[in-house]
Amino acid sequence: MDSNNLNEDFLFSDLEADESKAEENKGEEINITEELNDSVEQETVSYENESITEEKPDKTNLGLISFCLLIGSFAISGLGGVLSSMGFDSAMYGALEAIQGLMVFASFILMIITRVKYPKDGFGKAVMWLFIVGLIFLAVIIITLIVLCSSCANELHGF
Amino acid sequence: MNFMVFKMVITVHYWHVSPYMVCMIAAFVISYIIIFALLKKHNVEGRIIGLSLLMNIVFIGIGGKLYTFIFSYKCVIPQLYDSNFLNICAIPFSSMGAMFGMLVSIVGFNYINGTDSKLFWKAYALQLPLLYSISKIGCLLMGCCHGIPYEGILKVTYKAADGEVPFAIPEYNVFPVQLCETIAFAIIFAIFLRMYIAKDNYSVEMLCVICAITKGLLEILREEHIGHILNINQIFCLLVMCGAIAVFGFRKVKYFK
Repeated sequence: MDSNNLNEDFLFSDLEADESKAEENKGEEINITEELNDSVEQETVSYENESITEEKPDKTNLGLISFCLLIGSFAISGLGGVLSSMGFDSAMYGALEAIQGLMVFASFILMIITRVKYPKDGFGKAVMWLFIVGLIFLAVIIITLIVLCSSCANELHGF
Repeated sequence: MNFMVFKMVITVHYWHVSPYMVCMIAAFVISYIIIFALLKKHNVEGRIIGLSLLMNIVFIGIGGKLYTFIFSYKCVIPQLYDSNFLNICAIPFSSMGAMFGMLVSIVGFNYINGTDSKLFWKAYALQLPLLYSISKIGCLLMGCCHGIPYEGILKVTYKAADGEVPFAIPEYNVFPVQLCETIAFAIIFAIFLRMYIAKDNYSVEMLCVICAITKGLLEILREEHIGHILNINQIFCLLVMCGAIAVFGFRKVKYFK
């Protein structure tokens, strides 16, 4: 529904439309009936959406899956550390890191979907706060790194 | 007529934290505050705006790193092995990749959210001139992206401070093209912000076309442009302009069908 709306009146604002309506309202009844039809359609659509949300339960498995993926990525990180200390080759360690990164990314996307569509889900909230705290920690670590090893950072042209 | 010629002398130090990065972070913080305020004004839930901003931050980070990792793989990988740890922080950050990441995050969030996509597009597109405008102040302080040799009003003289400087700075007086870009894009931002607040009436395509024309014209005053008819940046600007006009035409045809 929304993509159609976007395509149709992305360029033309509501206010512009209102002005044109005000001008056209003088003699033409067709536009009014069209508007009425539109409003009726919108009402039915909103009603359908409400009915769908009423039928859906507040809890969903997406938040739980996202939480499990995040915890699983931590577990894999620990497993990689154990394996490398036992003397496994670095290629396997790299593959584990790649899997871990993909799991965190999937967990993030699932968290966003859960938080947008099911705001009351507890696991979604927990994962969101974990991500926010993680981002703050990452920012603090990067700032500390820059302050402590600024010469390395300048050589790498990084950050 | 010496008394009419104003002169700017900028001393470039060996910056421990590059001013470009400080300006970039400041620009992002300011633009996120503005996005939050604008969308809040249009009665979008604070939770939804916060989630979109979170997704934007994460995708910009991933996009900026991934772009460098993909397109300069051979340069990055030996460096990583030399430093003996596979650390993501060691990969340089690319602004081009950050832009792609931003685009993907807006498309993705609108797909997930499903409503108010028009408002989100307009609010995020409005920030592009602001980000560019503020980040150019960093360029002015660093001495990179400088203008053509120039002897006139507001000429810039760069001086190296004691000790080494990260890269070569111009030894002659140059045109303050970074300052021009800052002012031009700030004016564009102000005009479109007023249009967004007052009438909620501007098209993203128009913004893209105006930004591309401004950038393409100001590119002529940069030293990199000497010896070129069309710079790589100007070709990119032309592509953006053609794309925006094509999308505009496509939508208009579809609207009047």
